Amino acid sequence: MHEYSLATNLIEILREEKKKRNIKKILKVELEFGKLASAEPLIFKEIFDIIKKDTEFEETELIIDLIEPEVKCLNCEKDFKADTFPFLCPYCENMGGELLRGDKITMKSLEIIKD
Amino acid sequence: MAEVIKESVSISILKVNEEIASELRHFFNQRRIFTINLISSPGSGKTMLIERLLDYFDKEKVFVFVGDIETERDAKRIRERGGKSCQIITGNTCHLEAIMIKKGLSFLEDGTEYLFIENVGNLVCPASYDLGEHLRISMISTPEGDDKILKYPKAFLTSDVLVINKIDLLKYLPFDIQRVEEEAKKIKREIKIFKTSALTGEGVKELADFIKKEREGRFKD
Ligand SMILES: [Zn+2]
Repeated sequence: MHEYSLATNLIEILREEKKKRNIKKILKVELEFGKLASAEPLIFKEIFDIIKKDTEFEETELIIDLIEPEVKCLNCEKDFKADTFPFLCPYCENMGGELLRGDKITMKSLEIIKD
Repeated sequence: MAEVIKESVSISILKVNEEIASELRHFFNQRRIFTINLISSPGSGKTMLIERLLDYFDKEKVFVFVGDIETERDAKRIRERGGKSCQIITGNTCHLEAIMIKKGLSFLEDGTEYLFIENVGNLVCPASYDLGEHLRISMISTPEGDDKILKYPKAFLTSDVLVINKIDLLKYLPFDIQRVEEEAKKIKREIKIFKTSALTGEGVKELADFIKKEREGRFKD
């Protein structure tokens, strides 16, 4: 459900970028996909590959890089990677912490042919 | 042959939602409308909690948006209690998005001080969608079990308040309320916890008072 609306968003962003950057063809799109983005990367890719067929991005290949969440400890202020809850600081064993990255899906790069 | 170029970009896939959410926040701040986004699973008692909360507010100054996949039932319930409410039908979407809130703004009346948004019943997807709100409340109810916090951590991580509802049923259920509170604090140390029964009214006034204080703090002159 959720993955469908996200995949639709991606198509819209591609459309906008294509226009803005005078792109003739987008060969590849690379996404950073946070493990805490509350979406399934495989389902997302599957849906994208289906809905792209009705668009000008039929041949655009989607590359997904999974991102491990990074957390800042609120006690010792060190950064650490964590993909399960609750976040446990490996340095001082403090529980909790501020999520720095790993909860978002971000477009990182495009492989294109210009007009 | 045409040249293949690789260009770096950095665009959030939720870019459109994020832009509209910040527009909404600006709108709410300018009109001093304190906005609350209420998230929970289906059947936790969101509508009933809002009905109860209304008893502690000047109903003329409160508006309720009810997000629902299809029916108009919940908004009607709130209107029957004298509240001002409209339904936001989400169609196939399992969460409210900022654009849907923007479309609902025309229903708001002058003098609105509080806007409650009852999100679609779901603890997963709504957590990713900023609606421009000032306060996010995630709610669980005791019959759902005491293991919800670590199952849906993102909802609680992004929330300011955890409401544990249906505490009148505690005596019948194997629900470890201390465990829930501890796990919520482990996910987010500063989360505020309220224990309520929308049925008996227990704990609802405390939550209402907290919301009023938050509004005062936000819009002090
Ligand atoms: Zn630490």
